[in-house]
Amino acid sequence: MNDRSRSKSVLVGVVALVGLSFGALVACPANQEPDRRAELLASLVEAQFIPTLGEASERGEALHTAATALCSSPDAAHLDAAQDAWWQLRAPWKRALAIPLGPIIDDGFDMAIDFWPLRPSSVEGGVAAGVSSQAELDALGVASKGMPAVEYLLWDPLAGDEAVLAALTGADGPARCAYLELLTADVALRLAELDDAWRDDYATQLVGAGTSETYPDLALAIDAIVNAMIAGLHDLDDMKLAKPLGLTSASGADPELVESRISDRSLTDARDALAGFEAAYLGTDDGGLGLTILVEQRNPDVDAKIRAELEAAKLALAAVPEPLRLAISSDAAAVEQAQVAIKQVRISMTADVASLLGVTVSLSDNDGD
Amino acid sequence: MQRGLDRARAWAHPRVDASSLVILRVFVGLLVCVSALRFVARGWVSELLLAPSFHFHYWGFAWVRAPGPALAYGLFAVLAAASLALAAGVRVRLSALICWVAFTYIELIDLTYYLNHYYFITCLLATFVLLPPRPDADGRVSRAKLTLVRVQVGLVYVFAGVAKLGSDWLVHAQPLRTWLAQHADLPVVGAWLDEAWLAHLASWSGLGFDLLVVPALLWRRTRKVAYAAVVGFHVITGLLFPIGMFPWFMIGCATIMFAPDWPRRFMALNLESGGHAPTKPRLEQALAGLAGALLVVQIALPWRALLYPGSMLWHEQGFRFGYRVMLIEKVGFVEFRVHDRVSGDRWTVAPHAELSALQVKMMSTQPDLIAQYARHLATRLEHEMPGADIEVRADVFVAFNGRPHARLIDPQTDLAATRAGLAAKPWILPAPTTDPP
Repeated sequence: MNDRSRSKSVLVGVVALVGLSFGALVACPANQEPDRRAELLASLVEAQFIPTLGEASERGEALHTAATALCSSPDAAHLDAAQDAWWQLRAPWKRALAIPLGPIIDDGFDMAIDFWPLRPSSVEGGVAAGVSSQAELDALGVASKGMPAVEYLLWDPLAGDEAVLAALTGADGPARCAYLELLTADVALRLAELDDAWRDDYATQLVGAGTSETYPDLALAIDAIVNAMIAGLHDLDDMKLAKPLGLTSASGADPELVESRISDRSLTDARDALAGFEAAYLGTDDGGLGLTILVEQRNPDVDAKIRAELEAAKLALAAVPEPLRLAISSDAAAVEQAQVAIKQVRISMTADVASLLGVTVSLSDNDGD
Repeated sequence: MQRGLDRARAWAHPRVDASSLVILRVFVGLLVCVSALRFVARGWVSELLLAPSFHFHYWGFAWVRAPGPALAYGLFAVLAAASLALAAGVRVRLSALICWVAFTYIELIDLTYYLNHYYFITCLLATFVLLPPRPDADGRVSRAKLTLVRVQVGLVYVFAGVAKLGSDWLVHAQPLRTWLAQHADLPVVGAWLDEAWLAHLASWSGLGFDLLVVPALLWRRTRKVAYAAVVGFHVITGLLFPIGMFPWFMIGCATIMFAPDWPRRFMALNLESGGHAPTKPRLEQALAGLAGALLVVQIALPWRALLYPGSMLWHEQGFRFGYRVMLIEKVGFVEFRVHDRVSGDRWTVAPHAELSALQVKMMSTQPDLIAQYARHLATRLEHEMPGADIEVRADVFVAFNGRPHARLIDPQTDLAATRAGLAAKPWILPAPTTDPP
């Protein structure tokens, strides 16, 4: 056999091998489990994220209406109604913020609506300045506005509701009320803008992952979801529990770092945030899908572990006595137990789930080999 | 002994066509230039070099300081210009030297940005400095020069293949099983990428490719098929995985395995036939010897991993500088616990406040980086809190190649008291014994 015919034989061999491989590929029965990532993204967006933001937007309007009514007739009944409207708004908002994703973070809505920790001096500064127009409010920093500022004007944890009403009807009552109305209008406006940003663009980007501009492949969208879930847990266990407890600095426990400490909704906030994570992981009672469908497909043991840790976190959080601003000193062990339990879920999400799904914390093609 | 040396000299002496070396130089010069421009265009100079307030240093290179903005951008401009000069054949040795200095300095700034292909480019540019890829006065080069460059390129494949000889890769098809499944949404082939058998097929094919491609490229009869496989393999991996410029470098560099005169025969190119006459033959011989020594070092370095007990994929001692490409899917969680022995205060520190997301990600799975940051944290806190005596411990949980997470580091060890070095680190806990799913 000469060189030429040998080369020909090699070439024929390779072509045959490639042909056989391709044939095997085509003929082989597809017995693998289906890729449910697109289905999950669509469900998360349509059954959870959009309805939750829509609910928050509606409740933002309701809060503004209640604040306007309170300022028209500053009495106990209207104060109760305004406080209730604020309280009701926190639930969908904290659930939405548990998965800080897209415009919530990218466009700064989280800070504009829910700046933490509350700075009373900034709010009083807004009142004292006689801010009475949206343009003037826009010029103020995020510490002067948002839901914590509204909370500050609607509650007085030491002197009670009578003191709040006295302030609204006292010498600087008109300025206080005008500022309150402006703040609630601003919160409603921001929530509506956030809702629009999701509906008009971001939801399409997520649901269309694989071909959309933001997520040209599905893996990137799943990365974003998993990373947002981890970020939400980090905010809860580290920022909202560990920091007030004094676990992250040498300065000890600090009640001023407790979220929603004026209304004492702190633990309900935490439970709502955990509920937001739970819904994104487990899905919803009305058939909305959660990340569990992917994790369970890849490794049922990891899925079972996350479920067990989530249950333990809920129990630990439920065991913390009200209110949190006092519990961080009077029952620090219970608060720390809840913080550790939530952190355990975060560790498993960061290490096990991210590893299982091939999720990268910060995707960049400056790494990989 | 003398006889052996004589035979080696006789083997190395024949003159061969220089054009394949020239083409390699053009490829490398252009790709280094593209890499430099891409690094700037993607904002990585600012994000990776300028923004972080702390950089992880290579052992023995703590003296390398991050540049300021002017020097950083200037370095990339110099690198781009010198790499173009290298490609064009202008003052080849000087261009290669400038490229090597600029590239190596950039690489030494932060250990978390270590990549095998950056290491490869650093070594290749060093080889170009020692053995300039240009024709001699007769338009040819010694066979020894071509062979040394071929070995430099071939090392990448051979060691990438050797590194795959482990149960994770061969038995469990990890990490390819995890990575391929991410692309299950691709049209036509996507449905198959989630199949276990395909991950196994890809793993074994990858091993075969890495181990056989160098001899297959060198052997004339298999060369065309082998190069088609090189192009196919690197294009596919480049499309599926975020590995930057690596595939394009290897597609270019693999041509050095072709017959030395291939550019003249296939591209009808008459490259730089009038060449450079060495003015100091003894110096050139010494530099060629250095190039050989550089290869010996590269061949020896990967084996140091055998000196460390336990799974190298887990502890990563001896992992770098071994061309161990794409072997691990590893994710970690790290949190530092600080204790001031003077005040008795204890608190935790999340590294995100000081480090970039990429630095945290890379540090969270690599024990030496975790210890390095712990030492820095102790120094920083003792500076901020005069009189404090800081201990730093770490809670580090790592999952690799599909296994459930486990602690990587002994949580009782004061990492601030550890010393950097090559000795085995007793504070790294054993790897989990469970198999990947």
